[in-house]
Amino acid sequence: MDKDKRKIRILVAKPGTDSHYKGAELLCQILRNAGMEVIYTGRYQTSEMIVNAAIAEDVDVVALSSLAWSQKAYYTEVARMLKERGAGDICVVGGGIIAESDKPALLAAGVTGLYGPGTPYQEMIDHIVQRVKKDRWHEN
Amino acid sequence: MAKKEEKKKEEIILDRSKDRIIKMQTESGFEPKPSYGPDDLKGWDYARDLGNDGEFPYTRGMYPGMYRNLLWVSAQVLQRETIEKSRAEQEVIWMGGAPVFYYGAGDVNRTGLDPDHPLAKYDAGYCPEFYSLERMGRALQGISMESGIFQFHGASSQLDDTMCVAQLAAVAEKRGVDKAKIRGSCINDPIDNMATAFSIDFPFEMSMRLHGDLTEYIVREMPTYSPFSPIAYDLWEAGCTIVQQLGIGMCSLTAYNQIAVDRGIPFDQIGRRATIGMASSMDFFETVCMIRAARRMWARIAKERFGANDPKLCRLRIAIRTPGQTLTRQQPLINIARVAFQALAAILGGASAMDYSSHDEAVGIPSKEARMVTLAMNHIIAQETGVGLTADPLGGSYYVEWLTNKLEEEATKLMKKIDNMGGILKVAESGWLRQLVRNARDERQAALDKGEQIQVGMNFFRQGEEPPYPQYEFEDMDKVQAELFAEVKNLKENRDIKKTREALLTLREKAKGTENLMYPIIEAFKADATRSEILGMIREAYGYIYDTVDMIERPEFLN
Repeated sequence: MDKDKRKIRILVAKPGTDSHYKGAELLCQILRNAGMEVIYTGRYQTSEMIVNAAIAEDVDVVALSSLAWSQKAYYTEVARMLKERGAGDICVVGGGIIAESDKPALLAAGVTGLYGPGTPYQEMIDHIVQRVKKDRWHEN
Repeated sequence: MAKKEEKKKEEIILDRSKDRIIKMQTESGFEPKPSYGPDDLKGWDYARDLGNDGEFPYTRGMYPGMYRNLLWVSAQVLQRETIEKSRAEQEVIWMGGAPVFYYGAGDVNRTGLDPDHPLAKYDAGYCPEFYSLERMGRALQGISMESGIFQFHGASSQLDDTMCVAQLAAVAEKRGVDKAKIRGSCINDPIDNMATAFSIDFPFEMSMRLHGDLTEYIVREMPTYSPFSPIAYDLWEAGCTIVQQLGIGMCSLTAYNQIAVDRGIPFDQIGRRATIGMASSMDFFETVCMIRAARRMWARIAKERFGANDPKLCRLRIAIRTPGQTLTRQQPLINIARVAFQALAAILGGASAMDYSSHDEAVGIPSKEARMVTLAMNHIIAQETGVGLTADPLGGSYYVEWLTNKLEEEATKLMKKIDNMGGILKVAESGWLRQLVRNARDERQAALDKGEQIQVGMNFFRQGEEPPYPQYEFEDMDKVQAELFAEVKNLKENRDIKKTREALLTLREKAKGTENLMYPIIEAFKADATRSEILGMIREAYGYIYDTVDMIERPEFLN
């Protein structure tokens, strides 16, 4: 496929019992409008379910959305399980109201973005595109 | 170099570009005229449309003199990692002027899971998990249940209301407290979940059964408790306008009263407890007028539809929450101004109860300091501003009366539309209501994105990089969760399993029939059954699989 026209495949996922779905649904719209292929898991997912879906759908990115405080536990677990399953090149990004004190551990696990409320959409899109190009597609 | 020198000497032009109102519409989309006068109130009749405060149709307030005689109730939800820690911080709030035992449900509770459920493993413990009677007993320990107000306002989970009231009643019974003396309210609003999808969906027929049973139980056993309080607030938070919140809220309140009447409960027994929860928004006058219109609309519905002969049966209590949606993560301190305006509007409209957001809500869960700010804010409004000295101080303003009429008119149109489609229950079940809410949400978001709707700090007057605002620091959650899991294990291993089994199987049997389920649920809790086991039994009676999220099997002892 022509590299310039290659579409980013992204899995938007909501781990755990967090019920706030508006952010995730909005994210799906934004990413779709930015030309990405979006797959949405819906709510109430375990890390294992998310990783299975990511691998089965052969996505480039997993975007995790949660407004519960279990973000650190889930986001790092998803990143770890992807690596264990040999899919460590799938990028993991995350958003929600994320505790400042959780950010170092998340970044260390390879979970980037960490967008909070009110983040300009373009900032998220640019970040995802750059990360995929660098870490997944290994473009210069 | 010379050029630069020149530039430096240029005069600074003082920026006046922000000196204008950007959005010339009210939140519901009306375009007010430059001013209002008597011509805008043609045909308006004081006695018919307002009445005195404390008189039908209660536009000016539920009681004569309003806050002079009875101040609004102030409630503050607060929950921490353990029951003991929540309790310690709540006591400060209770003693500080908000004497309301008030827990909002956490996600695990709301979903109907026990903390040891695989989906709950990282989410459990951030809220007091009321999975067992023992937990509720501990939360209520040492509190006089005949004082203050006890409420459970989980957003849009019928299950959570059912479980929490069952536990409250069970604790009262065990302690020998007269349940008839417990005051408070529950939401008990299954339509809301269908509309906002804020919680996991329970099968609608099952939710409706739990709703009706809870209403009937409260009317019979806890007559000073409000059996339902539709949470129109959630609709606003989910994206709806004030008009939509008002119209749908009134439809729900009407539907729940009708369900109760259809079950043989005389309107006399529910009419005096009529309550609705609504959101104040940043639109000051729409908030004021929505509250006034809601009272008037309900008074007329109570009289005309339910044949209320005593005017006291036509009064509506309106509990106002200030919505988190309006708060920005940017410059969190400016949210104090937002909440203050929202609260002032609510009180000028004659709200009966106030539930404030903390200014740090977009940053994290409320800190103790932020909670103290809202508590003080409540006292400032009550004690310093003088707004409570006279009932309905804005009544009679041409604009306020015009807008009150307009909101009522538009909300009534929406109610009629819903009625013509078969009623609120039908549009809730069909998904039409949810689509309406989604569309409203998308419209609100688009207006924010385009800068048509201003949010200072976010899309207007945005400051650059800000240092992180302090967040509430949680305990070591691995430890909290380990202790919680051990507690659940201990309960499940050491209970009288025969008794538990019997109570749960009885519940399942009764759920297949038409008996009121509150009684067997209370018995099951008393026999140390847990929330997810109780839910599982009810689900199975309705022909569904045991586990809501299809991850675990029915426990062996129930086979």
